[in-house]
Amino acid sequence: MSLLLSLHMQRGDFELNVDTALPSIGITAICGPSGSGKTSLLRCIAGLERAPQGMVQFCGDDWQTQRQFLACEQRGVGVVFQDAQLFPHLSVAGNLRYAQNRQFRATGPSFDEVCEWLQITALLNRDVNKLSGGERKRVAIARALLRHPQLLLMDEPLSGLHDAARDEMMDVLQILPQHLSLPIIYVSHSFHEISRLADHVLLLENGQLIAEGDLVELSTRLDLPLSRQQDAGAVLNATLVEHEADYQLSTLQLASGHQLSVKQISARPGQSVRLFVAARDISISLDAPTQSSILNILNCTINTSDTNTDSNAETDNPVNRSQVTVRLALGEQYLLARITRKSYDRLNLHAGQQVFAQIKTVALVNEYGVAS
Amino acid sequence: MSHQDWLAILLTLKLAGLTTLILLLIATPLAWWLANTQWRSKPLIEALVALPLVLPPTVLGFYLLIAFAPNSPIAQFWFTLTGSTLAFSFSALVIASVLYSLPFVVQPLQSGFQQVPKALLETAASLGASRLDRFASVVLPLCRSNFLVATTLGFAHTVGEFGVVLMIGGNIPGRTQVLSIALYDRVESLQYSAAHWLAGGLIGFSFIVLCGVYRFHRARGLELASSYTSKAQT
Repeated sequence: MSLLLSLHMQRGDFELNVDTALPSIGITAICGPSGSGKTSLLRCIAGLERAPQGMVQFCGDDWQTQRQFLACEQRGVGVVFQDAQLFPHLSVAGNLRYAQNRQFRATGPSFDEVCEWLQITALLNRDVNKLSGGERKRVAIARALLRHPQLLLMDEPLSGLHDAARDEMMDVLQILPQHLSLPIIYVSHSFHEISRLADHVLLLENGQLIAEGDLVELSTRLDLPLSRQQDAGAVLNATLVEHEADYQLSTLQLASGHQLSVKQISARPGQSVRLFVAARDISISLDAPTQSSILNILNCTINTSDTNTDSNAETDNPVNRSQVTVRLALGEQYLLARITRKSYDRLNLHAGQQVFAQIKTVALVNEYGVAS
Repeated sequence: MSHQDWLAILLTLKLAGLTTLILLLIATPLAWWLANTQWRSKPLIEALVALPLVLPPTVLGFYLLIAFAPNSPIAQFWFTLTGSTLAFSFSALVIASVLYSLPFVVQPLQSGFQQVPKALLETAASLGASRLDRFASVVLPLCRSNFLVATTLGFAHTVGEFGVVLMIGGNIPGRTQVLSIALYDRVESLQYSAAHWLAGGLIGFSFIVLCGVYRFHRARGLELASSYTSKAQT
């Protein structure tokens, strides 16, 4: 734990209150709906904003105390802003050299390496005003990396991209932690992005820190807003057992011993992988379906459902009126299943009940496992 | 053209050049401050800077004449500082020109500075640029055309000033007789051919300068400061 934060800020009706310690490795996501204070928090960490009663300490260095406030340019942070913010009077190479000439420290990736990772070598001589949205973001990330920062901050770096460009960018971002031993703080409101990228998650709501922890644990907690999102689902850790070459499938095993088949992946047996199972891709059956095309049918126990919590009353989300999200235990890990309220009542589902979860799709999130 | 005419031209160029240089040094921080301050009384300063735009030059000239009179505190302070008198001197012309041309330099710069996105400056800070570095590496290049317009207007407006100089200059050839005054003299003494040379030359000079400015604008595709070009009174 090496980024210590104690930030309290009042601005009109909005109040930010965050006291926490963040890990100094891997990707930490700050997640929450718009207006929840994600960007304000990031700006306080960067030194672009000053919370009057604040304290920020990074790896033992005081960035903000009662008496001192280190300016952004002295903190050694790389910032990737929401809309790239490339300098319009410089070329792509000029933008990159701007950072290179003001490096925070000598150790870090070289110009060529960064260009290769972000696939921008071909763009170097281009005018930044003629780049596509995705290209602009890649240049902005490369520029931040060439600063050789000790902490990388990203504010919704994928916003405004269409789906294909977004997926492509996530592939790029996902491999960054392997190249760099650099902690990354990633602000996003998209659970889809976070489930693929983050190791550690901070959940903000109305400026308050409502939960913090490992993504695998937080993704299935029904008391948190993550489980109420349209694209809610469970993040799972698994180990590759073997490849079923004939069918081009791979078999994965959860810590509980349950096995899952997924489309063949390139990982080696024994390697750990991260999976995502969307809540809407799971249906529940009371008997083991024997005559089904669905491969992944897991025997599990109903842990709880959101009919038991008050969350329905609080939210105006129409999803929740007709549907129920059920949390299913697989040993220490959990699945989420979103089914209709009608089915829930007809099957008379209740906590502690043994059921079969039929999983239509398992998405592989990260072949390299969690960096921790 | 007579020797005296050449002296007037040389003096005018010297006056305009020096004034523009001083103006850029004063107006850049002033315009930056005006563009960024949250101070409530900012309109007060803005109005003060803009006064020469609306006042007849003779008003400013009248008060400067009083301020530069040998027994005034300002003139006496100047005397202890430099050992020379202020009245009817070249230094007095420079001071007057700086005051009179100030809005023509401050306003284009201020409007340019206001249009530099804050986010770009924050980006520069996050990349390690200090305040001064941010100004030099982001603000200056983005406001290039504003600086060009400010320089041009400051210079041209000083070349073209008449009323203030007439009030405080004293029309001493080689010392305070500038082009516009020399022209007035020639016309008064019915030397029309000399007057044509001076007047025509001034028109040609101003026209070429303005053509250059507009061409630069078109090449850069910027309309940022063009609204100020219309205020040139050369």
